[in-house]
Amino acid sequence: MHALDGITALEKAKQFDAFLQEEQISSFEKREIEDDEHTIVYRSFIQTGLGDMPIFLLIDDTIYSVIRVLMGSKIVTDENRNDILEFMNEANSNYKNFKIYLEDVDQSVYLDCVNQSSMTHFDPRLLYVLMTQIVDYLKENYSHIGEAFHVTQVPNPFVHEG
Amino acid sequence: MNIKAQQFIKYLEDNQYPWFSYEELNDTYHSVIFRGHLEVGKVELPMLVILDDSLFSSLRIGVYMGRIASTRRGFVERYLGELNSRFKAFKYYVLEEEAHENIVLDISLPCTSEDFNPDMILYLLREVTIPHLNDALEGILDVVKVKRAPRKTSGKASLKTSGKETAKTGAKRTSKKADKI
Repeated sequence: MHALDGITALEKAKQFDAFLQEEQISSFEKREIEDDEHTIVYRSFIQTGLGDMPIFLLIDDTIYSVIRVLMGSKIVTDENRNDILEFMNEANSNYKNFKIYLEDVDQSVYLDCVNQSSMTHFDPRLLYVLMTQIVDYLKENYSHIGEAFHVTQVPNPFVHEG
Repeated sequence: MNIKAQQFIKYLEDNQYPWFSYEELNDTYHSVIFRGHLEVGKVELPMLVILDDSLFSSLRIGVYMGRIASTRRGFVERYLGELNSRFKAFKYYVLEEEAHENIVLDISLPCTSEDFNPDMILYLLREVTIPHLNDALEGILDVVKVKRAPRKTSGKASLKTSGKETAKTGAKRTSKKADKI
């Protein structure tokens, strides 16, 4: 079987930038992360009934592109942990287009959708469709999410930004 | 039959790959389920490839099927959550059946019918999933407190790894520093 190494991050970013321009979408900030995989991050925000949640598109030199939502920054406590675990397992078994997980390092809850691209094909339009589906899920289910988190508003994840 | 399934069947036939049987479901998405087994160490794990008209192709592996003691359930979910955090390509969860629980590993492959690549299915199973399970399976069974691994089943040939390195696949987690922009 031939190797399926991805297109470079730079080439993917070029294609994604062209797509954003074509569709006149201006809601993303872009930044290059200087790491081994040349990760490039696009960031925007989703407005939900629980407040704004940052959504990221992470592209790099690997075959994986990751759409990531920070659902709740440092949201997990001893009081809500079991409810959050139950909520995550339920969502992960019911929805095939993403996964929700807890990051132990900072006790935050994330939603990830991972797309694998081949050596010759990267599809910005597909990624945007996937993002749209995620936005719809969060907007339709914010009440249920808030119950699991025991909050009516999610914390501002950039409260310490200068 | 949906286009992805047609392409996958042709791909399996052209390459004479014996690992799957398949069944068409009469559902909204014209789903076709391909059934087989993954060889992980000395055991065979049941696997499904689910192809339909939606954007998502799903690979599903039955990692464990049996009872999970209520006293272990919380530990299991936390451990699976740790795996979900560490490995971006994989999604673990507990699926409840009538008399037992299943620990399921899902790999989702978003793509349109036009861009469907059967090679990617086999690559993800052989080069990414099997090596991962070779490392992870024992830990999962340990947290369930199962004393022995599932029995090897007889029947169709099992899908095995080709033994190639997966270092370039990036299956491990994306650094969270990228989120802090």
